[in-house]
Amino acid sequence: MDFDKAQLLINLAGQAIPIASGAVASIMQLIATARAQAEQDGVVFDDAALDKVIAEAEAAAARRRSEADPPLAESTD
Amino acid sequence: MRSRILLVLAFVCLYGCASTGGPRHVATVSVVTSHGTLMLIDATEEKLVCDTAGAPQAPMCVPPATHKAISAKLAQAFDLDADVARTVKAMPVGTPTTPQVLELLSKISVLVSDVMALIPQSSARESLAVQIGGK
Repeated sequence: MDFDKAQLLINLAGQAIPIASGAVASIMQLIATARAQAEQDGVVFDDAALDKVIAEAEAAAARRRSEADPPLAESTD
Repeated sequence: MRSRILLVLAFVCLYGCASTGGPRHVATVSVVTSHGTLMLIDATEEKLVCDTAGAPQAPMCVPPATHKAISAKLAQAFDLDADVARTVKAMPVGTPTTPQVLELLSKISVLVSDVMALIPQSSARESLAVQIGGK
């Protein structure tokens, strides 16, 4: 599975809450399919998704910290 | 909203456990879902700050002081977001989800509720609330 497909599925998963009442099953099926494909391709889908979350979260935390008043110290944990 | 998000996460976990992957994969989906919610709130709130191009007029826009308070809470939420992703990534495949993961997701949910309470009522906020399944 290439990263574009992983990105698409990450975006879909990101929408799971608003459409949870009707489409979680479809999303879970898509992710399951992608996961099976990732394993077949030797790519760890979960790790790619989690790495993306970590990178985006760290960048967003730093940006929001700079906008906060008073400036917040860097997280120590 | 917190209870609704937790309910959805619990549903995702329960459904996922029954149909796909293992606990680590299910936890990954929960983390990605929580992260997507935070990113949506982050992007939306930035557009609502008073005097930002396209922002609504007062009292529907987010005043600068409120924006700073929201930023402080979102900084905490994104720190927790990264923490929970690291925690799940460190989980060996096949092991049960740790209570720490649920605790971190719960803390994020509390911060999301706090942030939503700070955003003034507007059509954009209403739309955001609908998208994330809150109030």
